[in-house]
Formats: sequence, C-alpha cells, structure tokens
Amino acid sequence: MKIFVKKRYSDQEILESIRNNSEDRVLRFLYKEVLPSVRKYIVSNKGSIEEAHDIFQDAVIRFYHAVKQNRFRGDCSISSFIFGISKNLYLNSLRIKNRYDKQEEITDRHDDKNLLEDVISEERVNAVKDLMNQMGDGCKQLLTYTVYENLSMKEIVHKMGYSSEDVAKTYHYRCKKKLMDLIASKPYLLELLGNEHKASHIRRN
Amino acid sequence: MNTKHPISEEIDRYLRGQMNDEERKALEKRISTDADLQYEFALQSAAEEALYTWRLHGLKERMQQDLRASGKPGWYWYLIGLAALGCLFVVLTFSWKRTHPQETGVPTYPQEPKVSVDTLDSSNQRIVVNTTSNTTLYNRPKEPASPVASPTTEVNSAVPLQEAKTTPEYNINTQPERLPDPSTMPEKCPPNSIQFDFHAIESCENTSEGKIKLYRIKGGKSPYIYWLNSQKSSIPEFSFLAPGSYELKVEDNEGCRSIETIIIPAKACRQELHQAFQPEFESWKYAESISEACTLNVYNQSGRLVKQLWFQEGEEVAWDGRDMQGSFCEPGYYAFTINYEKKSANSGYITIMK
Repeated sequence: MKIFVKKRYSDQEILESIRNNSEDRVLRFLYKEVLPSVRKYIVSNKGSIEEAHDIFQDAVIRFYHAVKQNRFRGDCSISSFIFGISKNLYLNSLRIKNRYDKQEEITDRHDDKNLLEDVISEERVNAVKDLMNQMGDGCKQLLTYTVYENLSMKEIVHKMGYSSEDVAKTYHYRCKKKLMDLIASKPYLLELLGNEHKASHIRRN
Repeated sequence: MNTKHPISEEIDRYLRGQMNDEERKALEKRISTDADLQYEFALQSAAEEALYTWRLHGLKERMQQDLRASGKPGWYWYLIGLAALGCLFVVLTFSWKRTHPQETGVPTYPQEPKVSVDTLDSSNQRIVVNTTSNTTLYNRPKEPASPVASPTTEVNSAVPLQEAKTTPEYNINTQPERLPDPSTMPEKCPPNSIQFDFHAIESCENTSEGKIKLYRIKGGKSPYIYWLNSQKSSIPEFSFLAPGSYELKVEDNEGCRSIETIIIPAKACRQELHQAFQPEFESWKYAESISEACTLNVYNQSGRLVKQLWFQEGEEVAWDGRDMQGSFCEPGYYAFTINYEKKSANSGYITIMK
C-alpha cells in the first residue's frame, strides 16, 4: 500500500522552482504557507477577503520580481518576506483610502522602494498583450509553453505536433526573433521594456 | 529566414546569468564600445523582458482564477442547499396534493398499482375486475381526437359504443347494482357542476391496449364514481380498451353527473411475425391480406437483400424461398419488411428449415 505524505518544500526548493518556471509547486506552497496569514491579517484589519486576495497576488508578483533581480537575499523566510510585502501594500492602500490607523507603523521592510513599483503596470501588460497578439497563434502558443509552462522541447514537439525537436527549436528561435523585430518596429517599446540604465544608450536604426 | 535581428547566443547567456564574471565583463566592455551590439543587446533584453512580463501576467491571472474559486468556499454548499430545498418543496407539494385531491384535481391513486373495476354482466350481476393500473399521466392532446361532448351534450350516436374489455381474472360479486340513470340526477345539480380533463391513449387495431385517464376533476363533492359504459370504478382510469367510442360518466357523492363521449383511436401497429417453412414443400405466406400495393423485401442475417417482390392490392403476399437468382436460400433466419406506399411498414422474421 502506498502512503502519500505531503512534502513540505524548503525555501531553497521554492526559489529553484521559480527559476525553473515550476508555477504549480510554488503556488501550492504559497497558498498553503502564506495566504492564510495574509488573509487573517487583512480581514482582522477592516479589510475584505477580496482585498486580501488582491494584495496577496501583488505581493507574490513582487516576490517573483525580487527573485529574478536577485533582491531576495534569503535573510528571512519566503513566508515572512511575502507577508511583509502584503502588509506594506495593504497599509499603503489604507493610506490612500484615508483609513490608515496611525497606531500601526510599518515595521517590516524587507523590500526597497523599487520593489513596490508596479512591475506589471497596465501599460506594460497592454503593450505585451498587443505584441503577443501580433505574434500569431502558433508563436503565442509556443512561447506560452516555453515561458508559462516551462515545457521541454520534447514536450513541445508532442503538444504542437512538430516532427522533431530540431523543428521545435527552429520555430522557437523564429518566434523570439519575430518578437524582437516587432519591438524594433516600435521604438517606444524599447523604453518601456528595456533596462532603464541601458535605454538611454539605445540607438535607433 | 529574416536575419535582420539575429538572436545572439552570447547575449542570451548573459541575460540568463549563465556567464562567469570574466565573460560578463568582457561582453559589457564590447557593448559599451559597439553601438550595433548595444542595440542588439537592448532588443534582446526587451524581448526577454516582454516574455517575463507575459509570464508574470499569466501568473497573476492564474492566481486570480484560483483565489476566485477559493474565495467562495461554500459555493457548493449553496448549491446543495438549493437542491435540498427544491426536493423538500417537491415532496411537500406531492404530499399535499395526495391529501387534497379534490382541491388540486389530482386523483388519489392507491398504494398498489392494482385497479378495481366494477362492471355488470348480462344478468345484471356485479363483476369485480382487477386490472393493472398505469399511474403515468399523459398530456391531453390540444386537438381532441374525438368529438368530445360537454357534460350536457348528446352522445354521438353515429359511433357505436363498445363494451369495455375485461381481463380473465375476476371475482363474481352477487350483489346487483343498477346503472346510473341520467333522469334520476338530483334537481339541485347545476349544469357543468363536475369538470374534468382526460387522456385517451390509443390502441393497436385488434388489440385492447387503450386507456382512459381522468385528471383535474373539479366541482361536485368527492368521492367520485366513474362509469365507462357499464364499467364502474372508483379509480379515474380505465385500461385494456379496444379502439372505439366509449361513454364516460363521472358521478359525485350527491349523485350529480357529467357525461362525456371518448374515442380510443386505433393506430396501425407494426407487426412482427416469425414463421418457418420448408421451400421444397411450401411457400411462406404473409398472414394478413394487404389493402394496397406493397413491396416485400427479404434480407439474410448479414443484412443483404436476397429477394424483392411486388404485390398488388388484394394479392397474397408470399415467398417461395428462392433468391434473386432463382436458387433456394440456405436454411436459416431471414428478416422481411413489407413496405406500403401510404401505410407504415410491417416487418418480421422467417426461418427456412431443411
């Protein structure tokens, strides 16, 4: 008889999963370990469940961003890091609504100013959506498999019905190149999507 | 392939953090001095950034989806609760209707699907006939198949009334009972005092499969007694009826009555026959005479047509057991259809014996 034991992932495993685009494992961990405390905190501070969920989502996105930019140094646990971000985001939203209670000060500051910037601003997301729509369904699907689901070329061959991994690689290369060409055709996208310190040096063709 | 902006593997490795310090510094130095490389780096970096934003956007959408579902933890309980309330409502309604049949017009059926029908024999003795009741209610056709008379309408004398058929199982009750006489109806009975709807369920020709079911009986005082020709019943249903016209009376507790003429329509039913014959000695003959031209098709077990014959009206439908080539068919099972131009087809099976 098989005995199923729920594995409790370490922070290191979660960080590895984020880098490998293994969203399932990460989200399972976060829903179990972090979401309840965020929800409890926000609901007990005059917030609603919906607000708690919105804040949690933003905090997770910022956490991902922090991991990508190597800003998460691991001097606290992932749970307390995301909880800290959630708390700050909620207090900021309370300030905006003039509901901020002066008795409570922001004490946990795991993040810096840049971390609280909207990494997926509406403008950015709309620009990317527009780009992806111009890519065509085939490329969009292929890039979704590689970027969202982190599928291997072998799996992509199966899913997309390509004849071999070489064909899949070729299509993947073409799709990425097409994306670059589209960005090149709209110079403002370089400003929007490019690294800030590099953008000023960009020469236009 | 368009090579306007080729993807640099070197830049790709840089962006993915796969270079060592030395390689990274060397590339950064070249980027700072090579304008073309700088531009390609910016493009490739922007493309990676776009894909990264695409991924984060997807992640957020997924979380929204997950949390929307988990934000309503009890949604399925609401559904279960609604379903339970629905069931309770149905049960209560049904139970109320059973206990208040005269108010709802829904007849009360006995627990056992056994219907007791009283009828009178030729010597005016009451016969208790037990039949099987089908409690299924059917919708009354919008256009009645028969010239339905109102309670005060004269019975259509052009259609002969038929006696209701009885089943072989019956008990003789020696207590005589008189048929209700319309002339003896109390004067206090207002016209149309008892109203009801009914279903007349058709029967095949030469069989007694018809039924009459009454429902939505209103007016008068319950309990009601139902008469179909000379059959009496306390149940608003009559079964085993041959096609034809019947007179139905509904009498209330005070002797007020409504009379209706109901026709059980006859339907043409497919007849499945199974006959065996030996072609060397005889021909197969269709048991019934045909009233119009028809085609006889005979098929073997694999569904192949082995013989087709045409017959005129009044001809005897027969098959000598030979196929299209004139050879005797092999012993075995065969299916046949008799197709008419207007009537529905008949079918059956034939066995050829050796």
